[in-house]
Amino acid sequence: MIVSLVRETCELIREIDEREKAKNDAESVEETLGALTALSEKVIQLQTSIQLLAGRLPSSDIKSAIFIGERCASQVSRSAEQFVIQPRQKIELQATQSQIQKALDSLQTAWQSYAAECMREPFDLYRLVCSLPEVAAHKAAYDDLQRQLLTAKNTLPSSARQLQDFDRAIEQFKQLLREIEGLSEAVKAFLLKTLGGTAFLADVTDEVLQWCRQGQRAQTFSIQFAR
Amino acid sequence: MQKTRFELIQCWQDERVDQVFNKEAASVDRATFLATHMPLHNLEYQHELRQIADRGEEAFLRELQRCAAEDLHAFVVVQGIPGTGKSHLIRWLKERYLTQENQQRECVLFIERAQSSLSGTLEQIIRSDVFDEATMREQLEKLQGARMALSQDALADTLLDQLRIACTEDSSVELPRWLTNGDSLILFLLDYRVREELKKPGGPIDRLVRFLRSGPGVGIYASEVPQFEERDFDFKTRVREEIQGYRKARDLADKLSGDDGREKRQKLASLLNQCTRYAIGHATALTGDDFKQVFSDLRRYLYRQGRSLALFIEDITVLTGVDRGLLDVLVTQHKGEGEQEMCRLISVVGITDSYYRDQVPDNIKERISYRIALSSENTSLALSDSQALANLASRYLNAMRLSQGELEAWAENGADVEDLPNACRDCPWRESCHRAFGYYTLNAGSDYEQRIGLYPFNSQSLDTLYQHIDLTKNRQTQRSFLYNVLHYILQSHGARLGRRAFPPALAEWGGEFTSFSLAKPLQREIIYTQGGFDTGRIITLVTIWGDRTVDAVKSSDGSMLVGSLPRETFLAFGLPAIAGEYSSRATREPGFENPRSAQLIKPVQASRETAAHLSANDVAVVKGSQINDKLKKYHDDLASWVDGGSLRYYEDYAEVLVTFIRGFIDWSSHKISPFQVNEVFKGRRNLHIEGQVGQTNAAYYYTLRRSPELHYVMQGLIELKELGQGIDPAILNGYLGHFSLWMNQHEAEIVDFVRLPNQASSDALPLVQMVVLDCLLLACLQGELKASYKGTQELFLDLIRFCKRTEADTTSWETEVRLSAEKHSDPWSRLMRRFKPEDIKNLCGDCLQLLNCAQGDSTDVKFVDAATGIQILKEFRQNKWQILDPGIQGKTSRPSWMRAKSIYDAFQKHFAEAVQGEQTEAREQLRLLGFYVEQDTYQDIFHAIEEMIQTCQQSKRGLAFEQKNQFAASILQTAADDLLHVLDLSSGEAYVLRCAQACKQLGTVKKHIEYFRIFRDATRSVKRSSEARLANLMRETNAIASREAVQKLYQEVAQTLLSFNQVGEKA
Repeated sequence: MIVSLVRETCELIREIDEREKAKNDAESVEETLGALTALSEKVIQLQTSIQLLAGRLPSSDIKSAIFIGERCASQVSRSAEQFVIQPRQKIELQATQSQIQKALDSLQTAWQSYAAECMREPFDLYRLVCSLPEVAAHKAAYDDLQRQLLTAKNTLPSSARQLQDFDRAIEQFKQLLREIEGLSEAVKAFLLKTLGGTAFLADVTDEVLQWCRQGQRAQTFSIQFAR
Repeated sequence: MQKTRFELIQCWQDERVDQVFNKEAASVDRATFLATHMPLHNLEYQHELRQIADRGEEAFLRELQRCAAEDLHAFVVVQGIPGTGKSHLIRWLKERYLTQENQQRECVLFIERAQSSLSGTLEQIIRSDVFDEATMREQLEKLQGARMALSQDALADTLLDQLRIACTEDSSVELPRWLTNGDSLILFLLDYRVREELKKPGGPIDRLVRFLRSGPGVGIYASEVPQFEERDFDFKTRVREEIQGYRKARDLADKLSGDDGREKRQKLASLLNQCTRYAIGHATALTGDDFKQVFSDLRRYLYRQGRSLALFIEDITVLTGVDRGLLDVLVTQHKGEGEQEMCRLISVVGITDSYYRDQVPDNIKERISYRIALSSENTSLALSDSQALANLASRYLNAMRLSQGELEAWAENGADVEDLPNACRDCPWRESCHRAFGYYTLNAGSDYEQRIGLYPFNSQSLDTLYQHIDLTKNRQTQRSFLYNVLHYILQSHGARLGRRAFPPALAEWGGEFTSFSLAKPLQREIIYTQGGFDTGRIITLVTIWGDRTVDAVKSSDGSMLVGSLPRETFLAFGLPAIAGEYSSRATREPGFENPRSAQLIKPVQASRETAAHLSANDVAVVKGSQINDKLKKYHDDLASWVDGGSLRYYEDYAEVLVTFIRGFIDWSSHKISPFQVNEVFKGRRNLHIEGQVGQTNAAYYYTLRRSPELHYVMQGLIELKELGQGIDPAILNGYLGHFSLWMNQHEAEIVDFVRLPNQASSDALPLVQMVVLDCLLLACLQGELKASYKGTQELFLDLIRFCKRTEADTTSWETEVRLSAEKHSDPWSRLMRRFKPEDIKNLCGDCLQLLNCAQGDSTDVKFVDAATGIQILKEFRQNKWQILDPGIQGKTSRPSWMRAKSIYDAFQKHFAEAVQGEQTEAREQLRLLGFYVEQDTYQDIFHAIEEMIQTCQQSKRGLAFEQKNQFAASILQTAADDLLHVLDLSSGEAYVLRCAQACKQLGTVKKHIEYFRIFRDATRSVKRSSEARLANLMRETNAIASREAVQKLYQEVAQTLLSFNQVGEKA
């Protein structure tokens, strides 16, 4: 009884030992796989951004991202080699992923600067004319476009379509502003001062007066003593 | 009257016995009383108004008559314990008080004790005619009313009510708080159940009622007034539970009960005793003050009549209830201021010592005129010699022989003692009678000297009988001499004289006497030989009338005396005049030797003063007398016993008999050890002598049957003890013959008595055999024996070592008992636990003592009787250790037998089972071992254990098992092999001893089995957890991704990263 019991138990113990070792390895592989999968997603995201924005963003920004990609490529290759010996590569891969993320963050910052520049002029003009009756009548359209543009600005484009949507929205906004009649430079200067509360009668030139008397616009202006 | 031979003559009429011998002095007619009165010569005056030089009664009578003549008041107290003759003296004074001069003037009232109750006393007073019916009607009605009250049925209840009232109204009674609280005592005495309990027959109220109506009855302390006693209030639980009326009554009854209430009960009894007189007085409407008033009125009446009063009261206690009033009357003088109209009073009152001490107030004591003390001492002094006894007896015997008419004629003629008629004067057998029985000379030396015969007694017999009065029942007083001696014998046996049956044999003697015996018991045979059919009567005659022997001596006149008695004495009673045992050495004067001077049978009564002046020779005589006193005591006792009486000093005989039996029998020849003899005969309690007065407390004792032989043996042994070398060699030779004869007859049964545990077990195994086997088996149980013995001697030595060790200290035994549960089988362990260490110790001691050959008296140094022990063991071995039936029927009371039997019984019942238990245990343990080992070897097991431990260490796994060096394959192998041998046997010594020894191997095997069990359990636990772990592992590893997929992804990521360059280049 005792001899056979010992024999069976010892064999069992040995098998467990082996299986536990294998299990540990497998867990390392699993963890490495997880880290690698996450890294892979980031890498693809970076690749897409570089491809989409290479023509719009400053080249320094694009080159910096490409440099990071190259450096990470060597790190991944090194990890792949280590993986054969030590399947637990999670930490190494996470460090690589962190670098990729930084590259993505730099590209996003660059994109936001680019998008803001694209939106600055139309948005300033809209602020001057938004009180006009004919503009106010289209306010919903203006707001919708403004919202689309601000969202696009904050999101790094991950596809060509996103980029196209951005461009089209800018164009539509500008088109709506172009449809306002007689909006000359002198009128724009007068509207600017009026908004700042610094317009005097001297600034009401004939051109300006005429523009003001067109349609229902005269009702939108009032006269006050300067303080 | 024709003169015939002086033989079987009854010179009195049967009816005269009861007429003359009457216990109450007052009940005897005057003539008989005066004829039998023996003058008192030594009155002791404790107090006297006037010094009286003459201490005789006549002188005192004259003093009373002088008081009467001179009209002087006198209050005389005659004090003494009952039986000292107070009544007799008072009666005599009364009879002689009246003279020709004073009889007209004196009114005499005599209150006798015969009707000694208050009721009877009142009746005596009423009927005495001292109260004139015409002029003293009121006083008579008062007395009559009291007497009526005493006869009423409700007296008990009335007494109880009056007691209750006394408790509250009598200012002299101070009740403690616990009795007054909530009127506890009042309610207690009102409660119906309490009253019933106090009134029940024998209860305190019943005693009081009976005393008032009927008097105190008879007995030594007959004059005592009944009292409440503490036991009267210790009610039984049932009675207390029945007290339902008053809660307070029940509470008080509870408080009074049991040991805790004893003090309270005593207090309550004392309080109620203080109230008794008040209660009696008020219950009878005759208080002490009333009684005093009645007598004061009487004295005033008599004064007016010109008369005086003389009161003679035998016993004042008959007036209990009014006695205080009476005492006031008695001390009241007629000449004091304001008492002028009262007559002179002379009173003589009998008072017991205790009454005088406790009941007579001090102011009364101071006013007593004369106090005469009659103590038992001066009464017995009156009977201190045979002359005094003969004096008293002769007066009564003479009165008995005379007719009533003759006595009354004498009394009528003045009752002059000088003219007292003498029945012997004209008796035709006077000479023969006086020669054979003696006489007493009345008025010796005077002209009126006359000889009164003592027949059917003689001086010796009067003295012997007086000295043999049983003092446990009576005292030596005149009364006991007259009534317990003379009256008893004459009344019981006197009438048988003519039928040749007086005196009867001692066995028929009866009465309240101590036993009588011959001084020389061996002479019984002589009497038997010479007296034949009359042996018993002759023994009585020589024992009581004679000198307790049948020594035949020649008197100075040449006639032969047998037992100091002349042949006429024998013939007078119709007895053969036996020759007796002749001794040429002695001669003796005929007549009646004063028994109290006889050295052999009477004590020398030396006072301290006289003892101080005794010469050396006198001292020897005194010592010799003291020994003889003792011997006489024994002789009397034995003589009475052999005649069918009881044996009083049986303890003393048993003591000498035990020594005799122990020393006389050669016990070793009967194979009985001194230890056994000592146990049986250590004290005397295992001997019972047939007819002994005490009980024998032993359950099994040897009864020595009543027989003449045993009589001689006891007599001889006692004499040897008392006299030592002083015993007469001739007598000693006689005794030795009797010793030998008696022992020859009884040795076998005495030996059996010592040898056997009880009467029913005649086939019992010898004690030594049982004890030796008990010890052997105990040694076996304790594991003190080897597994085998070549010789019995070796076994015996081991047994003795065990006994010696265990007798000294039972620690080893107790340790083995404690360990037995783990070392042995249950039956073995149970058997060991049955025995108490103390019993084991004692049994081992018994064994050594039983085998000890006595070396003097020492029990410390032992010389072991190996032959007996070895023989017992040899037989036991030959019988293959079979425990035989001990053959003991019933119980035994002997400690050694009880110990041996209880242990032997246990072995007989359980030893075989215990041995078999060990074998079964061995078999079971081997089976268990096999369960662990299976087909492997012990070596394999230990290797497997090693492997398991190493594997666990390598795998960093815990194993709840500790490897121990004490466990090894080789050790286990040896133990298991030994146990296998035990299984091979089924009976006999080897079987028992191997089984007894198997415990060591069993222990080893058991420990290994336990070791294996722990290992197995630990391994199993590891296995179970490993199996579960493996299953989990298998589930977990199946779900894990393969390396290949990871490597493929690596490649993809690396390629993607490398593709950035191309994008950059394009850019």
